[in-house]
Amino acid sequence: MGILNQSGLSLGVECKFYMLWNNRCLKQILGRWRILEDWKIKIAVLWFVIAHGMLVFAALGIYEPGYIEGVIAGEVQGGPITPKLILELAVVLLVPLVMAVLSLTLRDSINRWLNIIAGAVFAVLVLADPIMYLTKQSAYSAYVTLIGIVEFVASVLIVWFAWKSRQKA
Amino acid sequence: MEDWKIKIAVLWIVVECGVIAVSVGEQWIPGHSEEIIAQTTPELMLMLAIVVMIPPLMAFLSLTLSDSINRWANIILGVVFAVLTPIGVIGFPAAYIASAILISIVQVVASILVIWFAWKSRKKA
Repeated sequence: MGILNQSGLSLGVECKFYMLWNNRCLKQILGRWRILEDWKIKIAVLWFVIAHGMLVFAALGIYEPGYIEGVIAGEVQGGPITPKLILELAVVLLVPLVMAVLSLTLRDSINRWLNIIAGAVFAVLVLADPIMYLTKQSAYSAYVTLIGIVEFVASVLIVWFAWKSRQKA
Repeated sequence: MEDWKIKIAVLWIVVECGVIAVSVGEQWIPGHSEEIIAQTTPELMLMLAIVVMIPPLMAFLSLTLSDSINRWANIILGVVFAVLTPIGVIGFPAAYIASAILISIVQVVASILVIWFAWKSRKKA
């Protein structure tokens, strides 16, 4: 502990005891780097899991029979393609991307609550596509359900990691 | 590993997701696919593949390269992407350009943040 005191940084507020076993945190104590907690990195990666699920769903959908014909005729998933629809999809896709960056940069408290709220919203939102496919009893509902479950688990994990971080703060 | 490297890696993936979102999403625009097919050449596809593979490569390299070269590679390629991304918006049909602009804003902001985090890391080195 002597070397830690020499570095001129107190261990009290910023670092917890368990962090001594974490290489990044140890470097932070010995150097001058600001600390980036593990839960923030985990949450950032989970947001990419959700974003990629959406992209994969959009890219794989093209292989469904009748899908391309529908797109050429100007409709997707039974509804017409409009600039408004594309804009909505763009916004829904950009939220996880922005949240990934914000979860690394925002301050602890607001970071936590934003992730809990956005995670809860996405946990509901990502179930919309599987439910739509299952109610249509589409033959292709299995892959959509799989993507939906992965996205749902990722959203729940975001809420969980954000919630759990409260104890250590 | 320093924080700025992790942040930059995440920002590069954000840029990449934007690129993929635009290329997947533009297939839905009525009549736009035919235009793209008409313009496609093997050279263009190769160039696109190179450009599209840069952000994920940079995400990995920003976690692994040594500090000095890491910083400069990120600053240079950050500038390149901040300039290149808005150019891609130009070809969009007017009705759908709002979505393209929105995505490109996020990409440009991410590229600028890459430059900013890389630049800021110089002080601590």
